[in-house]
Parts: sequence; structure tokens; C-alpha cells
Amino acid sequence: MRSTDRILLTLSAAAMLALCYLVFLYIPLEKTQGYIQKIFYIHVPCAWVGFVAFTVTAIMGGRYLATRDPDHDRWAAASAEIGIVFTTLVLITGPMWARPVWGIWWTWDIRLTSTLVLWLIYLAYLILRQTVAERDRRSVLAAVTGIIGWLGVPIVYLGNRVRASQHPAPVVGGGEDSGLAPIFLATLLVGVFSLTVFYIVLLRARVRGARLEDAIEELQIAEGRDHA
Amino acid sequence: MSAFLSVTRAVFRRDLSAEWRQKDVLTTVIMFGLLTVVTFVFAFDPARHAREEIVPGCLWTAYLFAGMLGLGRSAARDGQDGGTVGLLLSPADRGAVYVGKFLSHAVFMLAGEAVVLLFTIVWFDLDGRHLTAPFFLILLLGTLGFVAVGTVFAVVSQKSRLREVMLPVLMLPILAPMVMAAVEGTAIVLTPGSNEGLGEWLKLLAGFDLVFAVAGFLLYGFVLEE
Repeated sequence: MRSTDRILLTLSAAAMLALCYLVFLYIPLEKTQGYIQKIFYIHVPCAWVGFVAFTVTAIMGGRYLATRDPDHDRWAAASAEIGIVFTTLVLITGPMWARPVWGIWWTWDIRLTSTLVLWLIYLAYLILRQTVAERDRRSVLAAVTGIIGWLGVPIVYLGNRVRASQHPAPVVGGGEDSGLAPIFLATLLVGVFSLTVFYIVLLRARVRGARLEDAIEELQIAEGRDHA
Repeated sequence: MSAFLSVTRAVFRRDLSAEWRQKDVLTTVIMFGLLTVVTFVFAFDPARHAREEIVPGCLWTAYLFAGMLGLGRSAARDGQDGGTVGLLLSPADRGAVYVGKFLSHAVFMLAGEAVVLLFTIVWFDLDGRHLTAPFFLILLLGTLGFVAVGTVFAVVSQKSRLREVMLPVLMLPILAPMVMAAVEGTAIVLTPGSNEGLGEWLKLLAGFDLVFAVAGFLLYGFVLEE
């Protein structure tokens, strides 16, 4: 592990400890929902990281198509894998929160649906990568899929204006009535910071791993040629 | 510009003449579309559901699944008869190829959809009150969106080990907003009374078509050349 990663990991862990302190010991209970509302501080940062991760996949896919640098493809793939993990956490923490508050695990509301669709798109992206053997071809097809898949997300969100939503409107920057008391907002931002930095650490580690995998593959191919 | 159009026209005519000889894609779309409608009737008894509750979902599910198989057939044919190799050897503009493929796929889909719709009209007792201009506009916009995405992913899925399985896995989530808008819009049109809210869904469909047609136009070349 390099020193940059060590610093980033320490920052992320410190922020996570601070988040735990704020969430469980410092901030007051939410009036109507009680303890379960505290899941908000992990649910929203996970959703944020998932969206950032898939955006990075789309951007890195575009850069791969422009440059054909295999490293860009590694960043795109790594980011999609991590994005799937965090979006899976969103889809787990969401129902855990919804059940006691709404009385149901799931509703086909636009925000839930769009998160699920995003998750399915990048799951398909990863499956595609698994099922195309040749490396350059895999990189190009994945890049195109990553870009087109990402384009669908804002369109799903547009449906929000047409269909009524049960999911609360964005509490941050969601209109005149929205907004959190400063301490709640600060707590949320600590969570966002912690998980975003953690995402960067994971991403860097995964890309290094992918570089090694590719190097091993090349060595094996070269060795196979020598024996033949 | 005229070179662009002549490539588009050549691709379009080639696809149509190949289809005229084999009729693979149309057979797939029509047969699978009809079977999906019939299966829907078995699954949801029309006697117990209002028409506007069952027809929109039934029609669009039939179109989607039949269409995905049809586009898969079209791309597989290009791979088998050397069409793709020929295109790659030619200096033709890849965007022009996309437009030609887009148009031929749209023609196959609309023709297949028309046949499935004829049977649906009879089976669900639809008439002039339902089959209005907005109904056909939704049908057209939905189909164009489907084809815009499908033309790219039909080629992508051919290059995956999973082939025909990969196409729906890739397409269905990306098509989600289009399906939602098409089904909701069709339901509004089929419901007696005002067409309130229809405009929003039409705008969503048109936006979807535009975004994915442009994306397909720009990205198709990368996919084709791999």
C-alpha cells in the first residue's frame, strides 16, 4: 500500500468514526421516525458514491474510446464494480428504512425504480465484461455500454415530474421547504466525505490489481508462446 | 452529404432485400409477438380486467420481447452472411451505416407490430375510439427509441459469449424509461375521456429517442469495428 492510500484510508476511517459518534451519540433523535431515521446518514452517502462511481465509469469509457489506453478501461471497470457494491447497499438500507416508516419494503416509486434500473444497467455492464474474452474488444464494448447506460439515468429522473413520488424530495437543495438543520447537514457531509474517500482508496487498489492481472495474463501468453 | 445518403440507402436496401428473401426477422417479430399477447391473455383474464389496464402492458411487452429477438436475428444474419465484414472493408461512414440499419430495423419492427396490432384489435375489441392519432404517435416514438438502442446492442450482444441472452440483459434496463412512458401513454389514450398528462409522456419519449439516436449514431462505429 502506498503512502497516499495510507493517508486517504486514515482520513476515511477518521471521518467514519466521527460519523458514528455524531449519529449515535451527538445528534438528537428525529421526532417522528425515531432511531430508524439514522440510517439516512449511510443510505444517502452510499447512493452518492454509487452515482459518482457510475459517472466515472462513463467518463473513463469515453476517454478509453478516445485514447485506447487500457488503463482508462481499468478505471472504468473498477469504478463500476465498486458502484455496484455501494448501490447494493442503497437497495438494502432503503427497504430497511422503508418498512418501519412507510409500512412496506418496496414501492415502485421513481427514485427507487431509477436506483434499481441503474443497478441493473451496470450489472449488465459487468456481465458483458465477463462474457467477452478478447481484451480490446471487451474494453470497447464495455465503454459504449457504460456511456449509453449512464445516459438513461437522467431520463428516468425526468419521469419524476410526471409520476407522483412517495420517496421524500431531496432534503438538500430540493426546493424552498427543503434543507436540514446545520448539524444534520454537517453529519451527512461527514458521511459523504468518509465514503467518497473510501471509494477512491478502493478504486486505486482495484486498478492496481487489474494492472497486475493484465501483466500476469501477458506473461502467461508469452510463456505459452515459448513452449509452443 | 450525398455519399452519406448513398451509404444509408445501400444499407437500408440490402437489409430489406435480405429480409425479403429469408423473412427471418419478420417471422420472429410476428410469431413471438402474437404468442406473447396470447400468453398475456392466459395470464390475465381479459374478462376480469378493464381494457386499458391490460392492453398497454400486453402490447408493449409483446413488442419488446419480439423486437429483441428480431434485432438479434438481424445482427446474427449480418455476422453469418458476411455483411458485417463487407461493411468493415468498405470506407463507408459508420454513422451512415447506423442510420441505414436504424431505418431498416424500424421498418421491420413497425411491420411486425402492425400485424400483432391487428390481432390485438380483434382479440381486445378495440375500435376507432381507441386507435386515434396519439395512439399511433406513441407507437411510432416508442418503436424508434427501441430501435435506436437496439441497433447498437444487437451488435454488442453478438460479440458476447452469451449472445441472445445478453441483448435483453443490456437493453431492458436501458429501455426502462421508454417502456414506462409508452405504457403509461398508451393507457391514457385507451382510457375513455380526456388525454390529460399525455403530453408529458410524449415529450419523455421524444427526448429518449433523440438522446439514444444521437448516442447510437456516434458510438455505433466503435461497436461495429470491434
